[in-house]
Amino acid sequence: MRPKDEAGGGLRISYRALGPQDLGALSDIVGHWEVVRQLGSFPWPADPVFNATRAQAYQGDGFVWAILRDGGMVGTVAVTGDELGYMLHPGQWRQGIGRRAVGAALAEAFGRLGRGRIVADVWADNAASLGVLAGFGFVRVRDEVVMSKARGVPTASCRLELTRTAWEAHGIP
Amino acid sequence: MKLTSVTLQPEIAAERFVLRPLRKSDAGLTALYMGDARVARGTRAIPHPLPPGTVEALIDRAQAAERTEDVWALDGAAHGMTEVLGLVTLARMDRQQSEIGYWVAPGFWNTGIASEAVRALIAANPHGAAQIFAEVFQDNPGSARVLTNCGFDYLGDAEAFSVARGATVPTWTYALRTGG
Repeated sequence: MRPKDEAGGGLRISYRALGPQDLGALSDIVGHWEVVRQLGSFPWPADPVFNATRAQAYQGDGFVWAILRDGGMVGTVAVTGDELGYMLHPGQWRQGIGRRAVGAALAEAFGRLGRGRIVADVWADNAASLGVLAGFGFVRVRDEVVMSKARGVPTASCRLELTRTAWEAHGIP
Repeated sequence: MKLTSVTLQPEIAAERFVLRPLRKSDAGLTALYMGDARVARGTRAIPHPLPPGTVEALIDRAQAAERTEDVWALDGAAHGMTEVLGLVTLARMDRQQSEIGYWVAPGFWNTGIASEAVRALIAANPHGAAQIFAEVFQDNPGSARVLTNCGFDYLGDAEAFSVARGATVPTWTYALRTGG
């Protein structure tokens, strides 16, 4: 896949398929507790082999992209099946990068992939992600308490959903 | 009707031994070798000294229907060797990926036992994995050679906690694409 360049915001952000070359940067990101506590599948403490299994080209239905800032890998954004997920290095937070990446991923999912609906599971204490997703028109469809792998305790979680119709009506925030 | 999924674990033939599912009668030899500091310190999870009951718990887990990790004993009895030369494990991860682990009793080191076991397991590929991952401590180059002998590619440096050492130890991570 050719990198997709985006202009605007003064940030040079691009995306390409995640691969083995991202293992080091990915390991750095998931070495941060404040990142991993908000993820669903990554263990804590970080497991080098688990990281290696994720720093691979995604073979399933959907995509896993590396988020590049000035060519350097700073996060990932993915749509696997109909589920959206992303992570960002803590040093890159609060600059609108997550919002841009989610926008690009949704455009790919509803556009080229023709998804009818995208869901996202967010821990209830993740105000930043709840805010980003609400900005795209995601609505909260279910609250539940599920085991968090990283935290090791049952944790409140929100299931958010965005239909294609809502996406088209809502436009880009 | 209730559908029950049974986790099958095949017996796999190597040249000098067979890889067969771990069984209750392996407890004694397994404890003898797993209790060796040279074995424990090469692994992340084996404590040293080995607490009583550790091996029995390992065997119970290895026989549980809902397990995610299969454990094989390297059984050399048919070739005039001991019933447990070592163990090899294969943990099922998601996305058709598995992680391999192994140890060989120190008395049999440097005889190609581990390479033979890993090669046989890869050839059989019982999980139908597309990729198999492994890690070794950097102060255990013999273990790394087992992986490179079997076609694994080096992915990167990391570190992992070793219970037996009570310390975080530098590691090398490897992967093999099976084409399976």
